[in-house]
Amino acid sequence: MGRYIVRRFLEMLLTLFLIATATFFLLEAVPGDPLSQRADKLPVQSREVMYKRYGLDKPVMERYLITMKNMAKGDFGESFVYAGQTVGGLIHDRLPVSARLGIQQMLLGVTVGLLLGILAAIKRGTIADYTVVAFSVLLISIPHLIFGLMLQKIFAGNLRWFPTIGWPSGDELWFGGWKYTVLPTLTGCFSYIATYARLLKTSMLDVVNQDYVLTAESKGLSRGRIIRKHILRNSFIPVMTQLPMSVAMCITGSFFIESIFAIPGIGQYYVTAVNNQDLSIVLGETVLLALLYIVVLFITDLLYVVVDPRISMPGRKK
Amino acid sequence: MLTPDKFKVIGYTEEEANSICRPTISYWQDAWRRLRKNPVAMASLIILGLLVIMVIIGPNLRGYDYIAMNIPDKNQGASAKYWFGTDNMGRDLFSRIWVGARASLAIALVATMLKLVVGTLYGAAMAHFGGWVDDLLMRIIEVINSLPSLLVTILIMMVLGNNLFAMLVALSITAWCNTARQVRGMIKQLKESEYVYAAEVLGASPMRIILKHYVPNMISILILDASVAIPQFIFTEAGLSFLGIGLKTPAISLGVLISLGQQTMDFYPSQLFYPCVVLCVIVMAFNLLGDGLRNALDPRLRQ
Amino acid sequence: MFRKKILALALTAVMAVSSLMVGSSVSAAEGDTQVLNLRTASFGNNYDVQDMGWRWMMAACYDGLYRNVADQDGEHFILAGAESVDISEDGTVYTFHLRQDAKWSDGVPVTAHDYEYGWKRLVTPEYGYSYASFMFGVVGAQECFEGTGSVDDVKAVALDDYTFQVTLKVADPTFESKLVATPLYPTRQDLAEAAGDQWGKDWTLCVYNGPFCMTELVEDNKMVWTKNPEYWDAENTHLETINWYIVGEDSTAATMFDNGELDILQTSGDYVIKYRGEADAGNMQLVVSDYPGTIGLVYNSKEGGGLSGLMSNAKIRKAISYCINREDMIAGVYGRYKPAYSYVAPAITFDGSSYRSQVGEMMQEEYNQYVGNPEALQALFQEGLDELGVTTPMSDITLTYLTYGTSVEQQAENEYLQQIIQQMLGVTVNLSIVGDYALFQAERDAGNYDMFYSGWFSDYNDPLDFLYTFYTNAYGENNYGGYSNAKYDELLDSLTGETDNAKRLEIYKEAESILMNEDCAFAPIYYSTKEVFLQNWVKDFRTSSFGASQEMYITYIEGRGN
Repeated sequence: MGRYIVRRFLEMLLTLFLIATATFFLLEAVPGDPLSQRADKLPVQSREVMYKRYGLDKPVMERYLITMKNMAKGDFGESFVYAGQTVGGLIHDRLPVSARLGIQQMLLGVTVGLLLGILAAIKRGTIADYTVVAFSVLLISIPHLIFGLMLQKIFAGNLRWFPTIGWPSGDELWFGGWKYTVLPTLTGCFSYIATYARLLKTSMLDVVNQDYVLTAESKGLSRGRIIRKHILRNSFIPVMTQLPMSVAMCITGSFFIESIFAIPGIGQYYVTAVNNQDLSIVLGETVLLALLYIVVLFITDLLYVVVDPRISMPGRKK
Repeated sequence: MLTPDKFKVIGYTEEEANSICRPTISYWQDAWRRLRKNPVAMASLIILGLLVIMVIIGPNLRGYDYIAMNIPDKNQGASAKYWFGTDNMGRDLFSRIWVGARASLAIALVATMLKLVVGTLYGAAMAHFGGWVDDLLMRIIEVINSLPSLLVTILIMMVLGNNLFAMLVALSITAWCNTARQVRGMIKQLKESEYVYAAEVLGASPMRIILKHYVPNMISILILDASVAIPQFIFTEAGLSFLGIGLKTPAISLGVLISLGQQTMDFYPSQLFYPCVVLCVIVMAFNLLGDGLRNALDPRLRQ
Repeated sequence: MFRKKILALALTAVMAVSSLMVGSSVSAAEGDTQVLNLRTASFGNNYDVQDMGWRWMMAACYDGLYRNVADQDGEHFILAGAESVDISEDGTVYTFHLRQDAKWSDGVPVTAHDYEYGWKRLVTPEYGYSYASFMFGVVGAQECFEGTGSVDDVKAVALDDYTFQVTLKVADPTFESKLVATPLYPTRQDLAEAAGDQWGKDWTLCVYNGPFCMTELVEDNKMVWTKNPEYWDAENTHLETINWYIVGEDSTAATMFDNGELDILQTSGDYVIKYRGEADAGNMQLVVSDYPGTIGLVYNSKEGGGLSGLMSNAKIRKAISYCINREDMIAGVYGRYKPAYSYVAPAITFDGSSYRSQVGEMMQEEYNQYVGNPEALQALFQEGLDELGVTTPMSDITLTYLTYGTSVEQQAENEYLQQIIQQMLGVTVNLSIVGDYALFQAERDAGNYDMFYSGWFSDYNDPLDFLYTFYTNAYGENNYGGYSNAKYDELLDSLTGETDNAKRLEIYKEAESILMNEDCAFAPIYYSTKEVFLQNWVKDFRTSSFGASQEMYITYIEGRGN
C-alpha cells in the first residue's frame, strides 16, 4: 500500500511536469503574445521596454527553463495582462467562489438526477421513463448561456424573486447570500441531473438482470426490499466512482454561468486568460486543475476497492 | 384421469434429436430483431432518417438563397413565405437551419470517425504490445485527459486557424482517449477469456478468432461509443460557436445559428427557437437510439 | 439580518448628515438616495493614472489640470486642478497656477510637485508607459524616454507648491487638448515609491484627488466608489455612492435597466432601437453624442499590393470603397452611427467648432457619382487593372478581407461587405476571419490580406491625432496597412511649430484630401456615436470623449422615489 502510494505520487509529479510543458509550448505555438494587443499601437521604443519589463524579450527555451524553475518553487508569476494578479490570489479569491457554485450545483443535480434515475429504472418503458429521458436530454440541449439568460429574465426580471447578478462575498462567501446563488445553481445543475439519471438508470438495469436478483425474487422478497437491498446497493458502484470526478470538475467553474451572473469565479477568468495568452495564469490554473484531476483519480481508485470487494488493491499480487 | 395407456412410444432418430428447431440467428440478426421490437428506438431511427433527408434536400426546398442578403426582408417572423421567418440579413431561416444542421452533422460524424479510428488503433496497440509501451501510451492519455479540454480546443483553433480542419482536429484530439481505453480493456479481457482460449484450443485460425470474437465485441462497443459521441460533438461544436471560435462566416452550423439567435432573443425569439428545436431533436434521437442500441447489443440484457 | 439593519441605519445617518452638508444646492434631492448604478464590460485592472491612458472610467476618480466634458456646448474642457494658465508669447511656456484647496483623499494637499512627479514618471524609460509620447513635445521628454537624456532635464517643473511650469520645444496648439488625459494627471511620489512594484496594481494603495474614491472591488463582479469628502468641489458633488457592475450580456443589462437596477445604460444592436423608442415616449432620457472614432477599411499599401497584388492602385481602392453604400449599410447592419465620407470624425473640434463642418466631407462628391452603379464601378476597377497591366478578367480576381469578431453585428458587417463588393464588382471576396486580436495582428503583419477592417479612436481633441496614423511608420511599420506618402509626411511635418490656426486648417485639409481623394488610403464607413440611456431620475450626467468615459462630478438623483 505504502509503496503503491509513493509510486503514484512520483507518477503524478511526472504527469504534472508533462502537462506544464505541453501547456507552455501550446501557448507558444499560438501567434502573438500576451502583450501584442497592448503593444500594437505603441512606438517601437515603448514596445521594447514593455517586452523587457515582462521578460518576453528572451528566447523561448530560456523562458521555458525560467518558468519551470519558478514553477518548481510554486511561483507561477504575475499575470501579463492584468497587472498584480497572481495564481495565488486566484486560488485565494476565486476558487472558493467557483467551488461553492459547483458544489451547490452538484448536490442539487446529483440528488435530483439519482431520484430520476431510480424512477426511470423502476418504471422502465413507461411514460415516466421516457419523460425523464426526454427531460434530461432537453435540458442539456439548451446551452447554458441561453438557459441562464432565460432564468434571469423570468425570475429576476419579470418576477423579481432573485437578484439579477451578483454573488455573496466576505462573511457570506461560503454560507449565506443564498438568493444570489439560486439562479446560477439552477442553470448549472441540469448537466448533473442528466448525467446521473442516465448513469444510475443504466446501471440499475444491468443489475436487475443479475442472477442474485432473480434468486431474491424467487425467494419471495418484497419488491421494495429487492430494490433497496440488492439493486440499489450494487448499482451505486458506477455512481460512487463517477462522483469524485464530478467533484473535481465542479469547482473548475463555468465560463457562461459566471459571465451571465457576474460571478467572480475561475471559469471566466480561465477562458479570458487563454484568449489573452496570459501564460502565467493559464499555466498555474492548468496545473492546478490537472493536480485536482489526478488526485481525484487516485481517490477513485482507492474508492473502487472500498465499494467493490471484487476489486483488489492494484499492485498487490493475487 | 391419466392412465398409462394414453401414452405410446413414437421412437426417435439420431438426426431429430440433434436438430435445432429454432433457426440459427447470428448476433447481428438478433440485435436487429431486438432493436425492431423497441418502438422508441425505431422512432428515433426513422426521425434520424428524415433528418438526413432534410439535411440533404432541406436547404433547396424553398428555393431561397441562404447566403445572399436581402435586407428589406430582415428579421421577419414565420409566414407562408418564410416558414421559420428570416434572419438579420433577411435570409430564409428554414433553409439556413438545414444548411447549419448539415454542417453540424457532418462535423460530428467525421469527428466521431476520427475518434473511433484513432482510439481503436491506439487501444489495440496498447493491448497488443503491453509492457512499457502500454505504460508510455497510457501516460500520454493521462496527460491529455488532465489538460482541460477547453484549453486544448481553443489553443488548437488558434494555432491552426478558424477552419473546418482545425475544428475537426480540435474536437477529436481529446475525444479518442476514452475509446482507446475501452478498446484496450476489451481486448485485454478477451485475450484472457475462456471462450477465446477454447477457440484457440479447438484450432481456430487467428483470423477466425478476430472476425468471430474480437470484431463483434469491439463493434458493439464502438457503436455505443459513436451514439454517445455524435450528440456530444454537436454540443461541443455549438459551444465553440458561443465562444466565437466555431465556423467562420458565411459558413453556418446549428451552433452558429443558435449563438447568433441568442444575441437577439429578446426581440426575435424565433431566430433562436427553431435552430434549438432542430438541435434538440437531433440530439434526442441519437440519445434514444443509443439507448435502444445498448439494449439490443448487450447480450446480458436479453429478455 | 440584525447586522444589516444596523448598517442600513448607519448609512441613513451618514446620508442625513451629508445631505445637510450639501445643503440647498440640490433642490428636491431629499428622499432620494444619491446612489448611481452603472454597467461596464470590464474593470481594466489598472490603478496607475499614467498607465490608464485612454478614456477610462476610473479617470472620474482623479483630477488633472483640465477636465473634458461634453454638454450642451459640445466637447470642451474646463479648468479643474489649475485655476489659471499663463502662456508665454511664443506659445512654448505654460505656467499653471494650481488651486490651493485641492486635496488628496488622505487629506494631503495636491501640489505642483505631484504633477512634476507624475509627468516625469510618464517618461521614465523603466516604466515603459504606453502614453509617454503624449509628452514628447516637452523639452527633454523624448530624450529621457529614449534613454539619451536625464529625467532632471525634462522641463516640467514645480516652481513652487502651487505653480507648475512646462516648456515645449516648439509652440504646439494641440498641447492643451492633451492635458485632459489621465497620463498627465498628478501622482504622489511618497505613495508611488513606497508601493514600488505594486503601484497601480493594488488599488488599496491608491489615493484620489477627484470627486470619488474607490472603496470596494470584487473582480469580475462590482466596483464601488464613494464620494471623496476631501475633493475641492465636494460641495457640488452630490452622489454618495457609485456602483459599477460587470454585465457581460446586453440581455442581462436590459433586464437590470428595466428593473431600475441600473440607472445608466450603454448597449448595442436591437436594444438601442428599443430604448430609443422608450426615450421618445419620455420613459427615459437619451444622451447622444459624436464619439471621435472612424471605422472603415484599410488597404494593404505595402510593396506588392497585398495578396491580390492590386492594392497599389488608387482607382482599384476607390472602386472598392465606392461599392459600399454607407447609408444602406448603416441602416441595415448597425441601426446607429453616422455614414462617413472622410477620415477625421465630426466629434473632433478645431478652433472652437467641429473640424468636419469647416472642411466638409472629402469623398462625398466622387462617391455620389459611383455609388450603386456597378457599370461605372467596374469600369473604374478595370481602368485600375489596365494601369497595372493586369489582364486577368475581373471575375477571376479574389480579394482577401481580414477581420475578427463573431457577434451578430460583426457577422452582418462581414457578410454585407463581402456581398456588396462581389455584387458591384463581380470579383470574389474571401473572408479571412480570425479568432482574436493577436491572430488578427499576426495575419496583418504577415501581409495576408488586401484590406482589413479597422478604425481609429482619437486620443486627444485635434485632427492631428487622426491624420498622424497615416504618417509613415507612425506606430511601427505594420500599422494601417503600411501606407506611406512623402508629400503627406511633409505636410504633417510642416505643422511643427505652426501656431496660426488658419494655416493649420489648410494643411489638415490638404493632408486629408491626399488620404481621401488622391490615394484613397482608407475607405471610411461610419463615424462612431455614443448613445447613453438614462433613467428619468438621473440629472446632470455628462459624457466625455477625451477624459473619463462618464463624468458624474455634478450628477444627482431626483425623483427615483427611494
